[in-house]
Amino acid sequence: MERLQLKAKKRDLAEKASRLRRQGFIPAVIYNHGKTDHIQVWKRDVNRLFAHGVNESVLIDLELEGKNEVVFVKDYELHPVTEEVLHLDFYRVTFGEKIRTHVAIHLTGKAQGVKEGGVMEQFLHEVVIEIYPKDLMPSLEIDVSHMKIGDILHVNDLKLPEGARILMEGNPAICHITRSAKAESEEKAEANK
Amino acid sequence: MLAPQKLKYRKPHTGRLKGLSKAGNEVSFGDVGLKAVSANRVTSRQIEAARVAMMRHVRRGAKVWIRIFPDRPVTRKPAETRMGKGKGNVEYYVAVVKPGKIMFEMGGADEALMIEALQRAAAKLPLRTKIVKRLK
Repeated sequence: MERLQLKAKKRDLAEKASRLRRQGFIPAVIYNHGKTDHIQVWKRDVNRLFAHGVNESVLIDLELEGKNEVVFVKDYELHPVTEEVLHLDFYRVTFGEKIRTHVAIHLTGKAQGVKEGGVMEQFLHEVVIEIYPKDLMPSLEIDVSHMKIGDILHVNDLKLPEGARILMEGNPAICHITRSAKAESEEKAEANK
Repeated sequence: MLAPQKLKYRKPHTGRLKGLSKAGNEVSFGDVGLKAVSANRVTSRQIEAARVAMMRHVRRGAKVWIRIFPDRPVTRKPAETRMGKGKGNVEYYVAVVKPGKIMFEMGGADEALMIEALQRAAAKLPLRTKIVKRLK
């Protein structure tokens, strides 16, 4: 997978974060193995990279003062109203060492049950996985076109690359297809007649 | 209508509506949500009116999540009463909503239909809102 590019520079901690934001930067930290560096990245670069929300499962080539590092977004803070990125946590990736991150689940295709009048209900929108950085994917695409009314898709049904592991207790449901409340009430009314 | 089952304090102080919402600021359950942009108190009647407006528009074809709860009692003194003689009676319950809070979420139906339903719900509420989509 092609990696995204981002330029950063060291942050002077004497300058307040609010002032940095006014200047068009986003304060950030980069860490791993107990070593932390305070950095700042251009807001316009971050907005361009994550046009549809910050993605925590994409590897980024971070150029920090002439030195290249491979990182991914470990955590982020958004403004409650404007939803602008206020702060980013980057995690330094060591190839050959597994990383733990959140991967979004995207359902593709129109389920057979939905065509028949059912309602698709998605309970889980992301999973926590442990994976080698080289296998990391931006999202997990699941084809649901075969699902009928009453079918449930569980976490264990996901197909992951070799060596990857889901870090979730039990086997939670990802989605299911139920009858719509409207169809159920119509059926009840017919039964009462 | 929504109301708390029991209360720790029957007649709380009025309080102030300062600052931004701390939690519940992202769409967590559904696909689209209604976010508060200004602060106000939302009564249990207003929440119910918004819920009914939404459900009628989607004709029970979608799932709705209500992310606010009217847990705060509001007292009022009867009309034409002189001041004093203690605090008034509890009249209704409100949810204190600060900017950023996701108040309603919808999922499981056509997005355009759900957005229309949320716009109808927004018309029943005493604050400025915006419609937001799930980030991931």
